[in-house]
Amino acid sequence: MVRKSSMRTHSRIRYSVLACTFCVVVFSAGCISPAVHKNVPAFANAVTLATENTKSAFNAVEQQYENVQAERIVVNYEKQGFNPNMVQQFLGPEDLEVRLSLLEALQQYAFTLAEVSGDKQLDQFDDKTRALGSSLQALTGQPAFQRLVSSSALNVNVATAAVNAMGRWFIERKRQRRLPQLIDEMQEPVRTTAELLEADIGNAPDARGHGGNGLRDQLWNEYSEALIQKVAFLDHNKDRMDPGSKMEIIRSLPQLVRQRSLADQTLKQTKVTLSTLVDAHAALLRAIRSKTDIQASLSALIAEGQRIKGFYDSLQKKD
Amino acid sequence: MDPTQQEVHDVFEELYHTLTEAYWVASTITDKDRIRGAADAVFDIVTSLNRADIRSRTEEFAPLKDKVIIVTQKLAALQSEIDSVIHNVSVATGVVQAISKALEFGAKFFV
Repeated sequence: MVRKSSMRTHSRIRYSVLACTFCVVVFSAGCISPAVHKNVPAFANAVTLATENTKSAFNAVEQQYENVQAERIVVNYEKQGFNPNMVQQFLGPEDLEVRLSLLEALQQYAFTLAEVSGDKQLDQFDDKTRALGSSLQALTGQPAFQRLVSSSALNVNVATAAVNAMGRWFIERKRQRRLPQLIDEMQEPVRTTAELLEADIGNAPDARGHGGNGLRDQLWNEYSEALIQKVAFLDHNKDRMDPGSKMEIIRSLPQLVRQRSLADQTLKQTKVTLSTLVDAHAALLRAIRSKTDIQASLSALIAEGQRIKGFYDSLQKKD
Repeated sequence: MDPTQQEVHDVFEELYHTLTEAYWVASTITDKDRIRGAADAVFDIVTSLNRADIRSRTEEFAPLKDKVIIVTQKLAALQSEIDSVIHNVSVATGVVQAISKALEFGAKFFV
């Protein structure tokens, strides 16, 4: 009885020494994965938003360009008739495709980063080391094994917890060495992507018609052109139109003016989502580069110590 | 000194703006039609300038995508390395189970 109690005490002492040793190792290695993983969802969301908004911006301009051409054909039909060559696209499909393709690649990057920095692989590692521990327990419990091995000092649970802690340290060490460099490598492509797309979005013209460029300028002009075509149609046909149709066209004019402003605001907002993309990725970089926060490190140390204890206790329960 | 792309754009945009403002205040359909014809032509010019501006950036996107793919592949390689650590533990478990089975079998056979 005394001997059993003494063995349990030795086991607890060995566990405590083991836990302290690995906690010191973890403390010195640092732990960046949680910091990275915490910021990945914001970046992933920013990429998704940028993708959707960019696609919508290009589609809005293309759609309104098609409307303008249709309005022109209607107004000029009696003099110019119709020719399929009168209908063009503002941009070719390849111009949008290459932009969306890049944004899809960024989404894949965000997804892979979330997988590498997350807990899924660590949880899998815990499950595998538990299975190893169970197998070792089964082996050491066999009479044939006990006849072969003269020393009964082997404590399987301590050894299993050691394998677990060491393996987790090894995994975290790999992440710590590689993730900062990879995220750093991505900052420039992310920033350049946002800059290029922001240039695509451009600016609406001012009150004198200056400073406009990109999709905002194009969309603003398309609405202005649509207004002119609608009024031209009305002027040329009002004497032949029924009051209801006339009213419908006249009512659509202030609506078009309002839509022009709303559409421009939407594209302006798309620029904001693009700068959010850069900010979100910069937050990932800051998470890695920030100097060691002693309080955070202590919290990590305590958390790892508790985790090792929890893991060890889970092995004891299986005995 | 050659004008910049934006300066050329501004010249035609200002002309388009002037023509559209003139259209709204023109009093006869004849004047309106004349102004509209000019405005349509200038709109087409400004559209061409906007189109050329956006297309000028299209080529810059492909190399960026390549860079993103390279980094993503390096991340995937890191993920595989971590997977192999996990796999090694599975292999060790398999070895222990095989030893256990061999001992069990041996004990029955040699008793």
